[in-house]
Amino acid sequence: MNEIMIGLLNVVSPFNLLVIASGTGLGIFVGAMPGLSATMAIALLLPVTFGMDPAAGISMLASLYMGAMYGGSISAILLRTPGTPAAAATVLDGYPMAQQGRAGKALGVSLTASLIGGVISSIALLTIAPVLGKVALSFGPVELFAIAVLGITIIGSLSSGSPIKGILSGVVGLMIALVGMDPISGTPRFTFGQMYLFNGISFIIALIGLFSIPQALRLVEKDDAVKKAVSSIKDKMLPTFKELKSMIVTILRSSVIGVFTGLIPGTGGDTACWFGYNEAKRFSKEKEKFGTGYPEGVAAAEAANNAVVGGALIPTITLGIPGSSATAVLLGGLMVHGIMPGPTLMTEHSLITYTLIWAVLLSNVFMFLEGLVLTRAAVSVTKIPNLVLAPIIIILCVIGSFTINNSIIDVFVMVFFGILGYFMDKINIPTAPMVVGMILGMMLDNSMNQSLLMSDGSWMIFLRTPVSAILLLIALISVLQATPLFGFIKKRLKKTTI
Amino acid sequence: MNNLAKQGLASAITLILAIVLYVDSFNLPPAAASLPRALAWIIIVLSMAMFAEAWYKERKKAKVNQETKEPIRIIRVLVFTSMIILYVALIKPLGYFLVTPLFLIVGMAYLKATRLWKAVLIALGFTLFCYFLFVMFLHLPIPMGLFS
Amino acid sequence: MFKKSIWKKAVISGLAVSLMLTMTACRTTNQPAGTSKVESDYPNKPITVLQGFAAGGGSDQLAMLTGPYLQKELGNTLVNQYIPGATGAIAWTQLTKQTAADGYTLSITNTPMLMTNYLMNTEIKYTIDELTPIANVVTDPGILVVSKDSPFKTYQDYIDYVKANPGQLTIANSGTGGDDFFTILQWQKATGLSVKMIPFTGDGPSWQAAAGNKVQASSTNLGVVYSQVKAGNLRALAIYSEKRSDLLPDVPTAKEFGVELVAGSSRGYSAPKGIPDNVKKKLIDSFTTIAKDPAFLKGLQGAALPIDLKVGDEYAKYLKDQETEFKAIWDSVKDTIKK
Repeated sequence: MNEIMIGLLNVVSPFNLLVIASGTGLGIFVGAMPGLSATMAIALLLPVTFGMDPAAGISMLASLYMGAMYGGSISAILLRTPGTPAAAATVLDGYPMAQQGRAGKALGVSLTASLIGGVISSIALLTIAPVLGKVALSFGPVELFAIAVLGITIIGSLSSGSPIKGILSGVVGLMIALVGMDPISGTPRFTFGQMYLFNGISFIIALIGLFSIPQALRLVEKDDAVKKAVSSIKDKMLPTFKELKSMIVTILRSSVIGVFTGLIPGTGGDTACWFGYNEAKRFSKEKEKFGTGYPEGVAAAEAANNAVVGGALIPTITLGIPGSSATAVLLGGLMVHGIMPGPTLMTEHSLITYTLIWAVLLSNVFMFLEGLVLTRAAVSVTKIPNLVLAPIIIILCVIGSFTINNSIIDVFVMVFFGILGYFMDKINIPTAPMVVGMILGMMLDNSMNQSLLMSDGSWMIFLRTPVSAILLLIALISVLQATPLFGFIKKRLKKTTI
Repeated sequence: MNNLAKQGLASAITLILAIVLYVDSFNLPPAAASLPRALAWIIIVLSMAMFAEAWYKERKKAKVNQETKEPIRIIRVLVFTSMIILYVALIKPLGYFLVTPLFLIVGMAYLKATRLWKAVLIALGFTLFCYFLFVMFLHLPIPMGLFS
Repeated sequence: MFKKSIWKKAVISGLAVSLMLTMTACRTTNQPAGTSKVESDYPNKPITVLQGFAAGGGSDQLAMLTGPYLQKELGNTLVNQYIPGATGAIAWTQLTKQTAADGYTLSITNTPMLMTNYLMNTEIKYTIDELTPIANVVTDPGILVVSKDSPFKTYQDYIDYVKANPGQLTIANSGTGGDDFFTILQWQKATGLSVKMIPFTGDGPSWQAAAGNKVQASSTNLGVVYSQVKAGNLRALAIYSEKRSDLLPDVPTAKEFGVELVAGSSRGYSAPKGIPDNVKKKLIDSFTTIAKDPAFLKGLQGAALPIDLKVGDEYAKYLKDQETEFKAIWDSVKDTIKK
């Protein structure tokens, strides 16, 4: 208890507050840039923290992570270009809202949901981290396989228009993910002798292409003569109490999903936003509104990805197991500061650890305040004429995708996916399922092969483990829910109860 | 190209892709090949289903009045796409500082987005902004070409 | 359309500029100062360090610990570039085939993956002959760990179980073709026993699978699991080094049980073939100097990484010897692995 209080006192020193505030602001800014993900931002700014004391340095990186998770939604909403992979699901409802002239509201909902998700995960981090940390270890290949299968059912619910097209898009996404070196057999797969493909097709590169290039092309399809719905700046940004009340269940559910997705090593914000979105849709009474500019869709995705921050930090500080790729870089940062990442963080280095935890909690507040200021200004992006915006989006995508691996081939791949995305759009094949497929492909294949190696090829291994059996059952229900059979049973049940 | 032809083309491309990958999977050890083969089968079935669905809808639509879509400027999209490809192809050899403002100015002039002097101003301003953000501030590499 | 939002833009740009100024200020204070002792003007721009593994892994650990000292010594910044994939082969192919040999691009080279990549896959075209080995920095010995509640209390328990259940015990490694994969192969050869190898995607997932009782054991590296063993989350049964480690003096070596096995993974720095001699000398001298810096040694000690400095030709010879050794191991087992 004592360390907790000292940590709090430590964090409220003026210098630490400044560090957290600038870290968060920077995170928002960098997160809004396509191509610059939270992981990359942390890796880039790691050297900046070398001169600070460890507690301040690590706090800065963590608040950067928090800020970036919100920042990604700004460009997702205003430009239909997710700033970070974790904001991909935000596009689905955020951009339609902006088109309807409610960009300010969309950003306000995103900010509020991010705040609640972030605070909940920070509180979980502060209070029940040691208990939750153990969860991270209970996820082995068998459980990860079940999560991947559950994730794949999201593909079905994202393809409401035409299930055939949606599932096709998702399966092609899974297939694309399998290109590259297979770590289980140590053989290159579908690389056709191309060294570039050994590394697989980078998910973030494809994501930038699939979402942003088609958007730029759509902007030049028509003249500006058609007046755009311009968001009024005076329009109330933050959701009203009534609106918040209607979304709070979704936000809380997404926050819990985010914390758990963060906990599990190997899954992070990019997965959590889809799980959050999918569950919100599953439990909603107005399923058909999702994807048409429904604030709850934005809230579901954004609460989940900010809740990942606290969730991913839980196994990081209790066990030294990074819960996401961003926290893996954070652990590397600790080492440079002479702190051995691992279970000793909670004991030997408890002061630094508790300062970090408080910093994460405080960064939410800064994120909210800075978000309010920045967002109000960012809405003015909607006033830029479409035809000016289109080439600017292209530049951001090209530079963003180049800097990720310093590779011009990546940029060509990005443009290729962009043109692909444009054609998919023209014949009404949704791109979102392809993105989900690309996220989950390798996880599905690796965990399946690892599990089958353990069980000598017996598929029963997936049903013998309780966690995986339950997750697979939920997946089965999700699939059945989409079939006419389920509606029939539901109807019958209702009748019999009456 | 009518809708059915577009759908047919898309089905054909995915079908061919799936078959190529299916055949290629025989070069792999059994464990690495099992999932791709299953996925290839699903793609084959779905791409044919997609074509069947489009064909069915097309027949139904013949009776219903086809909704008229707002015309889009196809030529402009094509020219703009070529400009993007050209930009990406030239950025490495010629460098960011030459190609980026050029792309922005030519792009905006072609699209008649704004007056020329404004376009030049926006182009230069944005080029500098990106340079400061990525290179000076984040220390990230961008292709410099002739300027390196 | 633009006019109204001018003040708003001023607010954003004001915020952005002030943030940038803060950060730039932070950066400049960190910039290494003493550039005066550089004879030639190398390095006059930042040096890129290619990393064949994801951020946060063992190879990153080395870069993070070595980077600041090397940076100070060289008088310019080091920029880490992560190109994970194909157990490092992507980065090393880039280093040998696509990188100018000017000393501005180095790579962390990890054994045995550096050689086993191309020994195992004909598609991977680079060889160590296309490198200029600069310096090996650490050698992290292999270690056998089990979960804290595992029935195996000692290495003897483990051996007895494997003897009684040939090919049944599940043991995690960091990926097919990785160091731990080869360590297990060497162990099987040395003992004549067999185990069921489960490849994971890196050292972290490998030991975590053992800690969570998903597999019965994990063959990994001392530096990776040191803090976990210290904290009691994992139990170390044996270490594959010549003699016991100072860090874990209670853990016996495999040799004490009559198993002739010394294995591990070493990490160092290499440049492309044909870098200028003065650049090579400058780099080697820098490594020799920092290896004497007590603060640097303390950092390595703190991260449980045993220093093993070999520079220039000595490192080149070490790599060549390793190549011969691993080729022999692979040739003897490859028919059973690739069914």
